[in-house]
Amino acid sequence: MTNDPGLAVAARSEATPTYPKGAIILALIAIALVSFGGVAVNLLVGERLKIITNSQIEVLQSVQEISFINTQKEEVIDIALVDGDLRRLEQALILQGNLRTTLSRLERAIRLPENRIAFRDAFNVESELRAAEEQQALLIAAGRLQDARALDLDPQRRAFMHQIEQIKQRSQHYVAESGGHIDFWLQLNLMVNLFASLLVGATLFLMIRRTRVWARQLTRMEREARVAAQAKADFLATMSHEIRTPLNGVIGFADLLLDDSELTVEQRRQVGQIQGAGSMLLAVVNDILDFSRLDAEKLELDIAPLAFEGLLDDCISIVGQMAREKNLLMSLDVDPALADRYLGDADRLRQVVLNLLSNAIKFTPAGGVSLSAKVADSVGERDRVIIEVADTGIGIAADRIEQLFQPFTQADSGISKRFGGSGLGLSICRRLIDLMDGTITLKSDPGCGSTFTISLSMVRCDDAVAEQPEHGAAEPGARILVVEDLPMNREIALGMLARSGHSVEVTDSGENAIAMLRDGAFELVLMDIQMAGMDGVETAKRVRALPGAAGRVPILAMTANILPQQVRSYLDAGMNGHVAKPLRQGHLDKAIADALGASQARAEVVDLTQSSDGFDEAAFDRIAAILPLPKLETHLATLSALTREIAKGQLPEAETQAGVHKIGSQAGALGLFRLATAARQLEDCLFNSLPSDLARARFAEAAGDTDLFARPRLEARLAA
Amino acid sequence: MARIIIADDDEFFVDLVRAALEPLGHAVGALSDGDNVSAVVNRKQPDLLILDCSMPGKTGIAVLREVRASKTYRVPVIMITGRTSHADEDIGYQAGADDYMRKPVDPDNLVVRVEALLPEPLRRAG
Repeated sequence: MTNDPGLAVAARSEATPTYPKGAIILALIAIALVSFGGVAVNLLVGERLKIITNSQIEVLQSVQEISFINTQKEEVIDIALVDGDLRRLEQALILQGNLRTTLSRLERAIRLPENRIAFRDAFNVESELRAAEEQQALLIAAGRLQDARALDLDPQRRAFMHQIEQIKQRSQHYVAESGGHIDFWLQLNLMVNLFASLLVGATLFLMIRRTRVWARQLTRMEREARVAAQAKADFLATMSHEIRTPLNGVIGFADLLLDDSELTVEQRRQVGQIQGAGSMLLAVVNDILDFSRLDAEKLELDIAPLAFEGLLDDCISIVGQMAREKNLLMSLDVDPALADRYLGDADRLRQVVLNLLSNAIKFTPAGGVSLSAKVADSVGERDRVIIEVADTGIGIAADRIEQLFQPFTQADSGISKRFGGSGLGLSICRRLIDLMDGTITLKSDPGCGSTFTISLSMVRCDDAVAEQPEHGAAEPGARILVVEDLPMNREIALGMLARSGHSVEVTDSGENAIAMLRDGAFELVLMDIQMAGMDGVETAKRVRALPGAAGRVPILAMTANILPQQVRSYLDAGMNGHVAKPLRQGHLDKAIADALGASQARAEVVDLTQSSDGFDEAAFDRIAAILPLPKLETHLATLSALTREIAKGQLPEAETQAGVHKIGSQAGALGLFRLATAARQLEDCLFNSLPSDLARARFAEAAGDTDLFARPRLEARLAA
Repeated sequence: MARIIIADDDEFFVDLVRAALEPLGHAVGALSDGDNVSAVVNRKQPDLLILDCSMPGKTGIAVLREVRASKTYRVPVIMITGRTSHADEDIGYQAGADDYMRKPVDPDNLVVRVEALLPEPLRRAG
């Protein structure tokens, strides 16, 4: 069960959300394009660029080298021609070898077929040139210098260099052309990337738009779920009231009838059946209400001192009749090591134990049921208390134990048909024990019985003062006014109150009640809440506004609306407590006794406190009741010293102003009204820069009030 | 059950608040001047803040405005005032105060007003 019904509903009502198919396909295409297309194009372009660049560099280097060697060679041959120097000619032939090497490197560098043709031309021209140069060399070697000079080689040399120059130009042309190709590839790459980016953008847009739609849907569903949860809570409250009101009639009249001695035995048995059936129905309604409150985390524990022994005794005696009817042995074992009192919610603990006991009796055909409580260990002021409910009943298979604690589940569905019940009992038990920070476990063997074990860490409560006052049965003869507009409920209340010996008057409206309270002295009012016209809450408020004793009469709300926030609203309206409908004699008596007892105690307090001049002892006592006395003593001493200092006029103006401010509020809280008023008047004068002589004089007059009034009152308390 | 911070230099009042609230299971922390209240409140994130209007250091209203500047966390605030005119209260309520109480404060009344501002699970049981 989830804690937030809103989210649960949202999760159920919507299938798992998915992004649109289009967006996913687009995203895949984009990723494919970017990863394959982009990388491939980049590799291709990069490789070509590298080849072209290297080739171009090599061509340029070779061409430069050839020009250089050629020029050098011309110079050497020229000198050889003039001097007829054979050594120089040999040098020229070595240079010629270099030229060839460079030419063959140029050939390797050239990758374009057309350039190869140009290169071959260049090679041919170079061969002619070389042949001519060798001829010239032979002529020089033969000493025919004249003939050698006459041999003009310049045209061949120029033709060769022209060819080389052409190779260079072609190579540059080739680079430019390839560059164009590369430009194309680069642009294609860019286009692919752009396209992919667009796809990514479109995908993101689609996804975000869809996500926003989801967010809006979730918000709407959450809101709807909240409204639904509130409606469910309201519905439960209404239904609880609507079911309890007629039940009040059934159980109440059955109760009253059973007291009627004129019934025949058969009639008495039948009325007993009516009462039993009504009580069972009430138990189911209570289970459902408890469960929904636990589910909505609206159930609060009412922590007060509780005594285990009495509580467990109660439980045994409540289920005793059931056990006797089935001839089961009941036993109770309470560990003497248990402290007298622990802090806990007695009603809720009793509810859990009763539930376990009545389950045990229900599922035990023969043998017995035992209840025990013991202290397992203690740490500091805490005891780990183990409560066990063991039976010799039909038991349950180990694999179904956990299922048993789930709501709406019984060990097999046949059980609910045979034994009845809402199926919520154990689930409520576990949640209540969870709420008490304890654990509840079950050990069982089919056929050999079951043992439920509750483990609670509880704070010992040794303080006898914390013990709640026990009021016995209501003292008979109280004058009680019942305000109730349904005749049936009026009659039941009247019957039950009369049975307890009270003298009762009834009225059916808030207006009449106020009039009756103004005139007559009632000791208690039982107030229905939902009445036509002025409702119970409004009536209670107006009663509290009445002057004198009439305004202080204890009022108990008598209502089927028993959710905690509803009960709180009754207390806020000035009522003193509530009795739940359907009315049960025992509960009614106890509530009335408590309310009457408390009001007597209050009356005694009021008698003690007569207001003396300028000092409200009741106000002082209220503070003294909650502040530790040594602390109060210190504060009184400080207040007294500060007051005297200011009265003597010893402090500078700013400190005086802060001081009287403090005195005004403290004295007011302590009931020292004369001092408080004087302090406030002086503060006003100083704050507004008005003449303060009169105010100072008044303040000086009241300056001793702390010691005069409050101190003796405190000392009396310290002595007591 | 709730964590409550009171900012007031009046030790008597602080003791009174402690005495009224601690027996109900609430934890009460006290600060005696206005300067670091908002820092402490934002760090500790108490369930309720009781703020005196006149303290040494920053005034209660200034502290209230600082505390309300937080966008993520809204602590219920009860303003305590010694001398009050309705104009002062209007300013306080506009600045985001949830309740105003005038000294002298009746302890029973204080308990009711404090519990009214606490979320239901933190109130005293019953």
